[in-house]
Formats: sequence, C-alpha cells, structure tokens
Amino acid sequence: MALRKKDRQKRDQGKKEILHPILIRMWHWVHAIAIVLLVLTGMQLRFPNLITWFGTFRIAVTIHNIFGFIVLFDYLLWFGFYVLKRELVKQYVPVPEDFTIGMPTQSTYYFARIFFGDPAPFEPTPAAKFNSLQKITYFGIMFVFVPLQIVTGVLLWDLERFQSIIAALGGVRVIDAFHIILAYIFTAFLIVHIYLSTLGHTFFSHIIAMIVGYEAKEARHKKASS
Amino acid sequence: MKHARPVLVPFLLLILCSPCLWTELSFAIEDETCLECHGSRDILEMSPEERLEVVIPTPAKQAVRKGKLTLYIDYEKFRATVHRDLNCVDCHADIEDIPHQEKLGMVDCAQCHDEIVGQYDKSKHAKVSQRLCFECHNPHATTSFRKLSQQERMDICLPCHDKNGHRWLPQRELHFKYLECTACHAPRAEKGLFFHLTGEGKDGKQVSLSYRQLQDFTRGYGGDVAKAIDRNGNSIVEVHEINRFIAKLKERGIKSPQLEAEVLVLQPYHNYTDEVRRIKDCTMCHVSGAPFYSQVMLRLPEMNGGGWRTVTMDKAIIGKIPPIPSKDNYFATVHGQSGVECIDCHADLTILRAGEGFQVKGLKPPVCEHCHGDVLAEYKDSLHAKVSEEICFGCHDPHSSEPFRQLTVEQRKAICTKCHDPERGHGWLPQRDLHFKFLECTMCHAPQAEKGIVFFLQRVDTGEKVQRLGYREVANLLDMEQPDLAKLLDKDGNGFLSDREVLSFLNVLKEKNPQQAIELGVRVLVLQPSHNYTDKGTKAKDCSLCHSSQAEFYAKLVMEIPESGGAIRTLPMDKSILAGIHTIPVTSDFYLLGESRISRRDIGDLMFVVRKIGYKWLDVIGILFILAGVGFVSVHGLLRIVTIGLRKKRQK
Repeated sequence: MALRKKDRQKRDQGKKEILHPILIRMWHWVHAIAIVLLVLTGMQLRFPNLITWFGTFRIAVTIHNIFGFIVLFDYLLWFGFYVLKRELVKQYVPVPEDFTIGMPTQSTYYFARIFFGDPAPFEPTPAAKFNSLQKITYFGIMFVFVPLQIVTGVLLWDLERFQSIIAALGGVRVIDAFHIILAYIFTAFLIVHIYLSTLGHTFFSHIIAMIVGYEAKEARHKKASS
Repeated sequence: MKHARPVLVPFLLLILCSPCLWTELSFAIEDETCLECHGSRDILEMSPEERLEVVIPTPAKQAVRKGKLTLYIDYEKFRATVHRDLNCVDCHADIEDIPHQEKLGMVDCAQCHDEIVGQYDKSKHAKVSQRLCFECHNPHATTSFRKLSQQERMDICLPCHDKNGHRWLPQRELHFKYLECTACHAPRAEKGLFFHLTGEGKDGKQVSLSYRQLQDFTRGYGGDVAKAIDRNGNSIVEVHEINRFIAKLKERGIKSPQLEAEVLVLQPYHNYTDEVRRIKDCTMCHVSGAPFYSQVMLRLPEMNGGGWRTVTMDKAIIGKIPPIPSKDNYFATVHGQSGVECIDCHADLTILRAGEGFQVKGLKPPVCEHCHGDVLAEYKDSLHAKVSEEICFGCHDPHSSEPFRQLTVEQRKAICTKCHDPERGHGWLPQRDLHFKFLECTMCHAPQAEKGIVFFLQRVDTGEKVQRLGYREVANLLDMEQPDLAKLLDKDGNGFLSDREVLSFLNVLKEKNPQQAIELGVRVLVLQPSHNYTDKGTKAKDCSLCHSSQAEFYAKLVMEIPESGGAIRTLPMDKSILAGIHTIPVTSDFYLLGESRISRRDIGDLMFVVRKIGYKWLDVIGILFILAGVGFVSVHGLLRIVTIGLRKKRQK
C-alpha cells in the first residue's frame, strides 16, 4: 500500500512513467501475432474439411509449426526477462490477499461499479502491473497453460522423436486432447483479453500503453479535474 | 197436305243431310242402353241360343278372344277405373245400332295407348303368347298403375306364370316380398328405389307409419313431415337427417322405427323378357349402377288423408341400407378380394347346376361363422349380444367391408355410432373432443382387444391437409423404382426398428424433398379387435387405463410400411421415439403419464452417447468456452453502452 501511494504521488506529478518496457512490448506483440496465427492455422488443422484459409493442409501445418516455435522462444524471452529483473514472483504470483480482498473488489468493479463510473480500485504501476484478477489469470496462463501448450505442441510436432515420452504420457490422443482444449481456452481468453483492454480510462488507453509504454495521464487528469 | 209438303220436305232433308244430327239421332247409344243387357248378371245366365236372339247373327265373322272378360259389366266398378270418362261405344266403335252384331271386332287400344301397343307388338311376349291387351288387363276394372300395390302388379302376371320357377334365385322369398315381376322382367321400365318409414305394429310386424303417428314430430314445421325431416331445407333428405328423425321417433316411443326400401316400377315398359332367368346374374340389380338407383325417393304420408307424397333422398342412403348390397364395390372388399362369391354365402349354386333341388341359406350368423367362427364364439357371450341381440349384419355390411387395419379411426367409430350416440355418457371424460378425435370407441370399450401405437408416413399438404403416404408415393419421394421400404428402414435387418433408423429414413425423405412436409404420423389404434364389448371403460372412469406407462397399447409400437400392391407390412418399433424431442409433431403432444420422467435406462443411454462422442467432446467444450467468452463480452459491452448516460450524468 505504501508503494501504491508513492506511485500515485509520482503520477500526480505528471511524469512520464514507463509501465511496459520496450522489451516486454516487443514480446507482447510478437506473442499476439503468433497466437492469432496459431489459432487460425490450428482451426484449419482441426477442421480441414471446413476451413481452407491457408491453402493446403501442409501449408497450415508449416505455418503452425513456425509460429509454435516463435511462441516457444518468445516465452523463454519473457521468462528470462522477468527472472533477470527478479520481478517474476512479485508481478505474477498471487498472494492470499489477492483472493480474499483483491478478487472480490475487482469483481464487483468489473461487474457493477464500472457501469456507474466509479474509479478503478487498482491503478497499474511499473512495480505492480496487475490487479488481483489479472494476477490470478496471468499466473494460470503464463505458468500453466502456455508451458503446457508449448510442451504438448512440441511433442505433437515430431511424434517419432518424442515417441517414448508421448507413450509415457498416455498416447497421442491424450496429448492432443490437452493441446486442443488449451487452444480453445486461449481463443476464448483472447476474445475476453481484447475486450478488457478497452476498459481503461479511455477506450484505447490500455492498447496505446502497450504500444508507447505509458498511459496518457494528461488527458486522464483533465478528465478527472473537470 | 199440299200445303204441308213444302214445309215437311225441307225439314226431312235437313234432318237427313245434317251429319251432326244424323249421328246424334241414329248412333248416340248411351251407356244406359248397353247396360240394359250388360249391366245385369242375368246375361251370364243366358244360354248361347237365348243370346243369339237379342243380337244380329253374323255367322261368317270370326270371334275375337275375350280372355277373362265377361259380358257382364259391374258399372259401379267401371266408374271407379281410369277409363271412367269413356263411353262403351268409344272403345266398341263398331256398334252402330242396337241390337248390335253377334261378333264384334277387336277393340283398338292403340287409339289411346299407341306407345304401349307399339312396345308390346315388338316383344317376345306378343310373339310367343300372342296375347291381347285385355287378356292381361281388364279394361272394365283398371286402376291407375301408380296406385297398384306390388302384389296387385304381380297378380297381372301370375295367372299365367308360375313364380315357383325362380328356384335358382337366392333369397327368393325376400325378392318376391320386395319386388314386382317387371322389376326384373321389364329391363327397360323406369324404376325407382322408394323408402318409407315403418314401425312395429300391434302384431309385431313392421307396418308403414301413418300421418297421425308422425304428426307429433311436425310441430314448428306447419304439420309438414317432409320439412321436419329435411331440416336444412335443401329439398333432399340426407342420411344424417333421416337418421336423426328415426332416432327422434325411437326416443318418443315409436317401436323400432326404420326405413324400408321397395323397388317400384315408375313407368312400365311392355317389352317383357325372361333374360334375367337365363343369365341368373345378380349384377343386374346388385350394382350401384342398377336402374332403380337413378330415383331414390322417400314416401311420406300426406297431411290430409290417405295419400303419399315423395321427397328426393340423398343417394348415399343406399350404402347404409343393407338389403340391396352393391356387388360392384363388393370385389374391392376384403370378402371379394379373398374370393368369396355371392353364392358362397347366399345359396349353393353348385347343386343347382347339377339340376337338383337346393336349400337357400338364410341370412343368419351361421353364414359368417363358416369363416369367422372365433369372432362369433367371442361375441355370443358378450354383453352386446345379450342386450342388443344384433347379429353380425347389424353392425357390419359384409358387402362393403374393408380390412380392419385399413379403416380410419372415423370409419371404425362409424360402426358403433350407427346405434350409439357418443355425446351420451361421456360427460365425465376430460378432453372429450380430443379423445374422440384420436381414439376409436373400442379403445376403451373392448378391453380384450389388442392395442398398440401405430406409426406411418404422412405428408402435410398446403391447407394442413394430412395425407397418408402409400407405396408409390414413397417410392417417388425416394426417386427409386422398386424400393424395399422395410429393408431401407430396418438397416440392421434385425426385424426391429430403432428410433434412429426411423428418423434417419425420415431425414432421407426430407432431404430429397425439401419443399414437402413429410412427417411421421402416429395413432393409438386397436390392432386386433375383440368382439366382447363392455361399458367398463365408462364405469371405471380410470384415466390410468391409458395414461400410464403400464397402458396396454404401450406394449406394442409398430411402424406400418406400405408395400407394392397395396399391402401393408408392420415392424415393431422402439418406444423411446415417444419420449424423444424430435421433429415429429404429434410426439410433442403425446403425453403419457409416467413416460416423461428419466429412468435408469435413460442414464445408461446417456452414458453410451457420452462415450460415443468421446474425443469430440473437446470441440463441444471448447466451443462452449468460446461462447462463454463471447457471451461475457457481449453482455458486458451492452451494459457499458446502456449505462453511458448514467456515467455522463455522474461526471457532471
């Protein structure tokens, strides 16, 4: 709480404060493009009779594989960045308060108070970028779902090479089942993710922040004072 | 004298020369003059010699046959005949003076009856018998043909012809009772079918109802019986109108009122033949095109004394009155198609052909028992038989019977509603009209009948008209030449139709004919009738007889599959089709107590389907995830838009 107060003071001073470092922004957009393409090619792989967006099945497989590995390296980049910055645990791992206080507060905001124009209960700072709900979600995504998807994806990329591992894990169908269900989860997440990005101070403020690195505070101040 | 001649001569000349006066004076022979001799029975007592003394003998002349005519004329009787306005000499035109000649010439009936004489002269009767008019008809005692009773008409023929010659004729006495000779022997005579109302008389015989007996029923119709019957006033008495009237007669105490039919000759034709006897052909009359059907009339007693008036009747009555069965429809009936000939039931013609005597079988149940022994054994002990004493024909017309299976609910009900009024006694029944619409009477009133649920293919045409599909139609819909429908339906060939097999067949039909509304029709029907009827259903008033999973008809579900040649094949069917939510309109209305709840078997089925879908669940769940995401975004976004105003207000 002390930190937050400090941050707020800093922000009130009108300083440009980098929320998303350039490396993270680059990582985000590479990851974004890769995930979208993986979803689209994945859909063609799943329903080859219905979807032919990428021409032949072969082309779709190639694109899927390429972007799969891009995500793998991108993930390692992200992981390395936060490990080196020693912020991985602080930013991403939820603490008990996130469940007991943060989650209910944030939920009531998203589901009710936001409609009445109440101020957000949480403002992101470079030190604490995520509110409790985001923290819980991103923890699940980045520490469970993405790694699991990458591992299953790599295993499915070369069945022969990973034959023994696949067999030990219960067979191709089981691996595939995990991969598929996660793919659907990512697709659903993507939709909600994009929508929630519009819930900033203005419609595009979060999105702009992910491009330029900081939120347009002047405008926000003007708005708040008026 | 001299003075007198000029006056007398012209006077005499005038008398002699005036043809008028001449005739008047010399030949105006009054009937009274004739009757001086012919009006007294004494003339019958006179000997030929005595008679010769009062006439002018003409020994050279040939005598004309007189038949049964006598010299004595009962003048009173004559004055009552159709010839009453004629004088004796109008016919006996060769009498010029009294006394007249001994042998008179032939009376020429053709003077007035030239048409009849023309017909007769060409007839076989004239050629063979050389009979003269008055050898059959007594011109001194004729009544109007229309007023002659059937017996009186027959009496014209019977003095010469022996009616015992009709030994080949099945139901001979019945034929003689209702028909006059010329109904058959004058094929070209104009005939009509006349009905009249009868009731049980004091001696237990059916007698025609008099106007006095019917008077009570004409209140509000100005005493007009015809108007009281013809309620819709279209001058045609329809079947339901006469049925209603008869029911009313019964209600108000007239004993066993009924319609009796008579075939009567309307306009005689004097060209007689024995053709009928030679052919021995029942189809001369027992076809719907029989000549007498062209005129179907109802004879009703007239208000003011004695007479009859006739009203046109709806020809549909013919099918409802058993005594004149139509043979042309007969061969389409279940009896006709199984090769039962007229004589199999009515008479044993094989013996006749061998030239021996034979016995005409009476129309009693034993005729039916020959084939339907089990039905009769069951019926004999039933309440229906004991109370109504109706025999088979009271309900069923063996000459128009269709296979029971092909009868619609309406047709089946019609068998009972001939006597029973469904409006009565069903007041307690909830959804009465719905029950009547879909169920036949015996569904409840024949507890021992085998019941079941029958499915069939039907098409709903424009105007919501439902048409059941036959073999040819289904073949056309499938676009196949000779499809084995049973095989197409029962894909696994186990002789049992699963709901899936039926529905997928239905889908094939629908896909091939997207513009037509083809669906599965369903009815609860009696599959095998029982003739032991009771009113138990009414007495028990127990809905659970049908509305429970234990209901009898529930044990048997069949699909009726049309086959080439009009036959119908039935295959048993899985009952799960009734509980499913399919696009079969009627199953959604098919509410059976105890069947809409989930059972252990349903859970088993569900688990089977879950396992069967297997890894495809991933897509189902995944799509649900996406839908949940999209759902959240849509609802949240919508609320955001809706509450824009709220936030703006707050900012201000």
